[in-house]
Amino acid sequence: MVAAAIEARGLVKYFGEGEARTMAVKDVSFDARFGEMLYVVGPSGSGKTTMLSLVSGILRPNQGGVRIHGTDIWSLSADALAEFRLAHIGFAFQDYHLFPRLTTAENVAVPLVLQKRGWDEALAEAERYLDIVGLKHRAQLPPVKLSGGEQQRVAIARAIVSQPDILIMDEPTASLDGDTGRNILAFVRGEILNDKRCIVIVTHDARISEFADRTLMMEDGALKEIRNGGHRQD
Amino acid sequence: MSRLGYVALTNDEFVAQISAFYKFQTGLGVNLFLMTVMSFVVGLSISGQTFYSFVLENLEKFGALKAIGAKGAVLVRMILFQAGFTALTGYGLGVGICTLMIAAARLRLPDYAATITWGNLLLAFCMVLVIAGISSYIAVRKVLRIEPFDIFRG
Repeated sequence: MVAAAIEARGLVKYFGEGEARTMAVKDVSFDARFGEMLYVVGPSGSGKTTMLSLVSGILRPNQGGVRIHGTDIWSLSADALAEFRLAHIGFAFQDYHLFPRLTTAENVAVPLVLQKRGWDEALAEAERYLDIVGLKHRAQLPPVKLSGGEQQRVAIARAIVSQPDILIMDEPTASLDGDTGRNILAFVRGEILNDKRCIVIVTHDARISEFADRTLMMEDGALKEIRNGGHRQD
Repeated sequence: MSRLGYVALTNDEFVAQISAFYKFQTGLGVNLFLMTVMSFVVGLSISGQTFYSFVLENLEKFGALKAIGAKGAVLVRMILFQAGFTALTGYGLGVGICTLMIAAARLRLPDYAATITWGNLLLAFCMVLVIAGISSYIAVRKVLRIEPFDIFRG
């Protein structure tokens, strides 16, 4: 049997202690499958970003566990977990977090350089992925010369250049206009998603709901509902 | 000669005696020492402040690198490289400027008494290394404490 892409079990996360304790995530369990585009939606403060951080190995839960491709990620040491993230998880951040002093190609090459790949090889691979996202002609420009949609594509290229199993996208359309946001998600759905990859997207943008296979609805830190398909605002 | 109240000295002994006189029997030695200490403190403050500002400005970038999978050791090496590069560049420029100033002074005053000894160079180099070390220690502490979660939280 093929392991689920992500198995999250009984995740609990709180911040602070005593009377100042705030529950951010309350007993959340779910599976994410390969070949699936999974949305996490909910109002601001519902715990979706915290939950995303727990399952992607950048914030340790107070209780519960996460298995990615069968590996219990929170049993790994800090260095082993960093290596695991580098090999298996790609991140596309809301504000892109591209490095302004590097060219677009160098930005995309960063994960490969961290994997100790040779500089020339990493740059060649980065240009191949820029070609996939349709930005090879922008390879030598700094990110500030690109539009918001182009920067998002560069962030996606950087997230997938190391061929991760899991792609985590945090509010990928938050800084984009409606058409650009839809184009980006259509592109991710059509070109980046495949049967060996799972894409988890945190969003509150109902305009892109049609691209989801399933949607986790969060409220007050708890998983309220899992729906098949997107989340249309009625 | 000593009966007549004179002392016979070699050239080196004479220079050492004159040097000791100015260093220890006038205010010059204390002034030079204070100037050196002040230069060290000012250098450390500027260097530490600059490095700390650099880290603060790039906190999100370091967080992004950590989230992507950069280990702490990689980030520490990055900071040490930058600190080392900056320190050596500053040291080279400093020694170069001092040498040029002495050369320029000797154009007007051919007997101008100033020399940069190997000992001076070594002492300055050690001080620069200490400044770079302390500055990068502060930056490293900050970077290692960054939570990648913070960049998700915005």
